[in-house]
Amino acid sequence: MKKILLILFLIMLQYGYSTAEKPPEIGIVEKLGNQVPLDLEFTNAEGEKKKLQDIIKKPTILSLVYYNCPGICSPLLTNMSDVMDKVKLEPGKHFQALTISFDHREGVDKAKRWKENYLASMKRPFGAENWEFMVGDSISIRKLSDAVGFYFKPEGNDYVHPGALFILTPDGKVARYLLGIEYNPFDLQMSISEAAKGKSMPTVTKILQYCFSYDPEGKKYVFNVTKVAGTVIFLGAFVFFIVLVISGKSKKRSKRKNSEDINNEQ
Amino acid sequence: MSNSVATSVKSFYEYQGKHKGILGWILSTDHKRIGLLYLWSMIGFFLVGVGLGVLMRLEMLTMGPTIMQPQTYNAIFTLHGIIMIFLFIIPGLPAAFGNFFLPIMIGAEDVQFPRLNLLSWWLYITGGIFAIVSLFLSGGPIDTGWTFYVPYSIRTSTQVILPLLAAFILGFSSILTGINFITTVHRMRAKGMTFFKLPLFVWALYATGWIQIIGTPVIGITILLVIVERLFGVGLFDPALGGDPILFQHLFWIYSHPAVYIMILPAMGVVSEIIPTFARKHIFGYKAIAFSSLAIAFIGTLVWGHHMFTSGMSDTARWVYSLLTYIVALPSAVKVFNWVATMYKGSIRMSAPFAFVMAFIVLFSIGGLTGLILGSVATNIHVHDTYFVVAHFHFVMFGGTGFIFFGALHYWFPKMFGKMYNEKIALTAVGILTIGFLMLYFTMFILGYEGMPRRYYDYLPQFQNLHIFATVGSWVLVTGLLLMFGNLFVALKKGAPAPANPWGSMTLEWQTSSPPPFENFNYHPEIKYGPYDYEHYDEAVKDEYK
Repeated sequence: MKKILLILFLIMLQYGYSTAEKPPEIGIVEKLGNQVPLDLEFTNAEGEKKKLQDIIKKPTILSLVYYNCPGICSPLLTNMSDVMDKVKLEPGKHFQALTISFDHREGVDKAKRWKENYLASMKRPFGAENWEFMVGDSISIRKLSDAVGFYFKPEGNDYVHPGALFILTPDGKVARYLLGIEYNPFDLQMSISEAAKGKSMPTVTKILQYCFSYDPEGKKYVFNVTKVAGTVIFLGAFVFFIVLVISGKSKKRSKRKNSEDINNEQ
Repeated sequence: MSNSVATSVKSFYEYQGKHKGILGWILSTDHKRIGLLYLWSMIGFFLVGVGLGVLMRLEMLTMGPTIMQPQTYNAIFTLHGIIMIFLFIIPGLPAAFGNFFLPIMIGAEDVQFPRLNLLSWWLYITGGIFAIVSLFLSGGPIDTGWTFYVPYSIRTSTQVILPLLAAFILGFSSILTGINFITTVHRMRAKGMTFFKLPLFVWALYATGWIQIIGTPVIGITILLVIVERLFGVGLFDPALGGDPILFQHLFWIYSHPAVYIMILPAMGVVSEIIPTFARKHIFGYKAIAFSSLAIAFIGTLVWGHHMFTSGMSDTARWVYSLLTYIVALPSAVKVFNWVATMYKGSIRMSAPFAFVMAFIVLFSIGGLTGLILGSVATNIHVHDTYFVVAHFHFVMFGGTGFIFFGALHYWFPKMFGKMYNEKIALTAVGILTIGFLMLYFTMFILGYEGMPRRYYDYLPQFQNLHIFATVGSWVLVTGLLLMFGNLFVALKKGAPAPANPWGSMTLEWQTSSPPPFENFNYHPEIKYGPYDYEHYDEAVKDEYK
């Protein structure tokens, strides 16, 4: 039964986003640019109540799971921690992570245990303050999940739900979806820098971001050959011009090494 | 106009370099020899292109197959386009006359990179050989039209890759020439030769150089992409594989529209040389003409979309491209008005180069103004892909650049070869050329307006009379060409020796012997007056060069 459900999730995941008009029961509807309500309150692993506006201040990788999940939630979080290990950005400076349980029956103790588990499994020190594990009430959960277009349904003690990472901008807007439960560090890096657009980010990332554009149909980043070639050409021409202007006229030089030739002919 | 000193100076023809005979030419890094190499090779390709054009006109003499089958016609119009555009008119004036005269006009001994210059010529010849060899390879001659539009260029069974490679190599030749000229203008000017004392031909070459550098890499990349697409079917342009054929059109015209300015700007520069010389008057609006070259070079890179009004584009893009097309007409008009104003109250001498310029102004104005009809979206939709476009293009390219190529040949012939030609025959040739030209191409405007589509080997009965008239025009045109080239050929063999300055011009290339010595001047030129300050002619020009 669970396997069938899992297959169902994945099918939903593939087709969920194409039915934008009427939200599906289960699946993901991409709501790029949508504002997440920042006044929602959740409780973190340390038992502190926090509003989203106090947490989301930099590009944020959000995942919605439930801690008792027998299915895709664990692999999702494992892959999330793995990709955050690999991404060449500094946690806490360029991005942070946020995991919220969408099962309102779950308490702080679960969140604490999962947080310790995943932070311990990471290869580089991630910083406990940079990855919050939270729980909340059913209304806040539903408001948040609707805002990001995440649709799930209880079934017995468990849930039928899709899997995805949501990249939020520093002011809490949905910047990008990374669908499924396996992620590419490059995609994540691009998403984060896109989310941080206009804010401080490493120059290299800015250039990278310029060279790649998001292909909404393929749901991935593609190398923008025309843009890059155009820039290289114009930059080359500009540098050439500057060099010419700076270097000025060249010194007189004669075509004939032997100056007697000219004298003979004059 | 005596020539006492000049005759005692050894010309660059007599200068003995490292190699003798033919090697002394094809291995020479002397800009004058390279210019002549280009000139001869280009005239060769031009004559082949003319031959193909005459064959096309013969085919159109009667309905149905006249002398060839449709596939042959497709191949011939493609070759005519590729040869005339890539091998004649794009290298055209800069490679032949620019190479020969740019260094002399700024008082330099050579271009900045003489060996690179020779490499450009070798690349040009390699490209030409590739284009010719492709005709005899499996698949047969390319039949896509010179525009290589996808998806047809990906699917046709004819030989596409080699002609594309040829265009790619020719592009490199063009870029290298551009880099060389720009660097030469910046670094090699003689003492006193400020930017605003540069002859306007040099300004035009300078602006052209920038288009060559910025525009040509785009066509290079695009050509490589088409080759990759054809070999590996990666789906860049082929809609069947999810590619975008419109993307090809954009990339192609991003280069190929500025390329028409590569073709016409140097011609405008030559006009700006010839008119002051034969009107013996300062050019009207020197800075306006100089800056309008730069303006054309700049705005000309932003108008490519007007080739694609009917091939799928947003309405916003349509009106923006249309507006920019109208704007780019302004600097061209500025030039035309300045040329006409220069002649006002001048003391005009009606010689052959000047006659070519007169024909140019009329033909180019017709070509330019019909360009506006094509640049306006509403009228474009009606005449798109008809003979109207063919006529417009030939008016600006042949009536414009082509006529000025001949004008430049007549203007600088005495300097390049040290011989004078028969001026009466030359003037007759100009007349015949103009009449033949108008018969051939003006008829095409009417044909196009009435609905004759381009690139068809057949037509409906109502077009018969006009087609016959145009074909007869092509014979008149060829007669004019033969007379003109014959006259020059005779002059080359038996012409009277040319004085240093037969036209009494002020620009530097006339302040040396004809033909010039190996190092261009036997003194160090110092420039005190502008190139067209005819009120200072007596002080500026040394007695032996008057």
